Amino acid sequence: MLVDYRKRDTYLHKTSPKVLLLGTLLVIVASILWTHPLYCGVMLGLLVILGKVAKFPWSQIKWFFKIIIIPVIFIMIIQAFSLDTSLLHSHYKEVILFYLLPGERLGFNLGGLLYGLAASMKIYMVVLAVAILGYTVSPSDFIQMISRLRFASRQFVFIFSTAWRFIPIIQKQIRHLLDAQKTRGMELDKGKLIERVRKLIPIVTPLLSNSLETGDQIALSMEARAFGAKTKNKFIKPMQYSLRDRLTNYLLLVALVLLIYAYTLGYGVL
Amino acid sequence: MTVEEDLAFGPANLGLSYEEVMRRVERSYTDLKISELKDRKPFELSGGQKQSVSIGGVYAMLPKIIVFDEPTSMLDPIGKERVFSIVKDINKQYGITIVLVEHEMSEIVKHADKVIVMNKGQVYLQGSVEEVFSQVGKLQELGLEIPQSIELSMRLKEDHYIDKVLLTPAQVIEACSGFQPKTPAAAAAPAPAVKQAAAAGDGREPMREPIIEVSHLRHSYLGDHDDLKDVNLTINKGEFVAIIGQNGAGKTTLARHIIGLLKPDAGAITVNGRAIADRSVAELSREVGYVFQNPDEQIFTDSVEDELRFGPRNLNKGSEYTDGIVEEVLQDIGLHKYREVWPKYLSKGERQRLAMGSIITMEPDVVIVDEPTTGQDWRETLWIMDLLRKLNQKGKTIIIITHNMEIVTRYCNRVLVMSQGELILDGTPKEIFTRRDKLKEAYLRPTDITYIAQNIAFMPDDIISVDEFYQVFREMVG
Repeated sequence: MLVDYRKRDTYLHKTSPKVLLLGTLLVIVASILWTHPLYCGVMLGLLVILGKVAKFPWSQIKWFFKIIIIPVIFIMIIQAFSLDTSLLHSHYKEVILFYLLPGERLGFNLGGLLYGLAASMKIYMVVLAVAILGYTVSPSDFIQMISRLRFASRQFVFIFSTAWRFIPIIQKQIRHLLDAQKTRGMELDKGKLIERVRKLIPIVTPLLSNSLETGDQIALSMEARAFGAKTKNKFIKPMQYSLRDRLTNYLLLVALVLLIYAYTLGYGVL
Repeated sequence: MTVEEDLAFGPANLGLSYEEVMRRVERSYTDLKISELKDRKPFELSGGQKQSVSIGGVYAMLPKIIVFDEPTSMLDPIGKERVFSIVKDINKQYGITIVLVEHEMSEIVKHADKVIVMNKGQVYLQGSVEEVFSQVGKLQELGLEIPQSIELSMRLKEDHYIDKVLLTPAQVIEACSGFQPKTPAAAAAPAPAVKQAAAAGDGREPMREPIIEVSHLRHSYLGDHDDLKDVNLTINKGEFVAIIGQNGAGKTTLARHIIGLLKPDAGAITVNGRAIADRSVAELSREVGYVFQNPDEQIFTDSVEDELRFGPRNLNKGSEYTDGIVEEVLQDIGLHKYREVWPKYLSKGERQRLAMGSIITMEPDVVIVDEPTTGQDWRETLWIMDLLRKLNQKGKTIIIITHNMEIVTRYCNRVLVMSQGELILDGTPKEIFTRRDKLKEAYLRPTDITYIAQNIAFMPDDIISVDEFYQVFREMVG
């Protein structure tokens, strides 16, 4: 999980998880359909504003944006040199900024560059939307949402919720084992990539044994707390679904239909 | 999942309605006084807070019998008291039978109706508190802790001040308060013997040469509040320091800054006169050793010997040095018979010793041990603390983080008290344990012997050991 859920008193946190899920779906659909950087830029801007409204902890996701910046630039350059411009409708596909090789070979195409830019922005869009969703919707609300679905059996909800609980525990164990190595003189951040990977090998066995132990303990503690005692769990948290949520939901549905319709008319396409 | 949702897990599994589950959850966090944690995530909490939450989770289910397996081993003293009073309440109020597995004898004598002493898988002793604790010799044979109130009353009985062994501090206070000091003046000032015993530990004066300097240290985990607030302190070479404070007070956060595992939001730390800001944890480990709160988070190799060799090998100490120090430490920590054993097969106490040994082999100038005695029996506790004392006698600076006030008074010559991210007291054990107001603020309370002395009108406030109490009492009463 990129950013953990935090209970905050913001507009987004008060919004129904169902609405937020629909909003995220809208962003994902847009990221699949759109190829125009302007459209992606506007969506990205909107997400940043929503993030600000939700008091999103930007510092927690900064590292991710930083590490993907190199692949993102790489994508843009590759697209600028190699994109099949017949896929584009815009006049930018005709614009060659420069040629890498003499004899007008291997042209750096503006259309390809913009296409690559849109592709990169789409990565940021999806990551940010999912991160905001994870930050504003509590995992148990997700689980409650799933448990309301007709197809979701108790086992399915159990597997989902346990896996969700397990992730931070494993993350913490990895952190502790790495810290333990550092405090014992191991320079984990120095050396070549292969060397650094090799230094991680000693933590595999303890991580595995600790995880099995933790899994065992979780199973035991769940059993001690009556898991499986009753076939029907009546603890269904009443989902708050205000008029505002209802209206927002309709608005998002309309936006989704419009987005798809506009796409068929060529909007959002480079 | 939040704390509130975790508390709801058990009652929900019982098939109760949403309203009933939430009613029980609310009662659980109100009774355990953990309301402020309800929106936090359990895995983010400090050890003690987690323990309160796990008790709350079972309590919310209102079963007929609750088995508590060392429920308070990671709690601060007031937290312990609170948990025991809750346990007692749920026992009396709801008729829930309580089975308590516990090392803390002083709590057992205050609360239990029946005591069962186990040894090597068998019931060794059983009976009422009076019946079991009257057999002190047998308890000592097993290496069990004898509560200070009992130890003191045995001494008083031997010299015929009282006619029977008393169990609780309240009983001792009542009995001792019946005596009159020889002269009214004697009651006014601490006895000379008390003044002389300025410091605990082994009485050696530490050097006045700073080894760790912390200035204006600030840190926040989430950015919404400071977990460390402008901490300033200097630790000198050769000191044996205890950091105490309530759960979540910032003790471990401070320690993790000193080893460089956490970076300050503001402020600076120097070790041996050099700023640590630009130094890696691995580099710092030559000078500062850090033993984790949970040994299982620290141990990761396949054998005891490998675990001890890991540090010196990383520091390129050379095979001759490594062979020598590993042999020495294996003897010191009493694990020479288990050198080839996978550490997971060791007992908790042995794993704790191994974790300490793995740091000792690196020979750092400072050894920080986070909760060295949690979950250990008294014999193991003394073993570990004696090992630290030996290191201290060799000139190492020792810093322990602990909730066990008795080991603070027995071993440490300096105590730092933290509360809500601030360093609120700094002094010798005697100085610290007389500051009742500040201690209360930090959810701490002195040991039973200090508490007894402080509640007898003619006794000085700063008594920290049974020997000292007895000596002063005899001088005053005659």
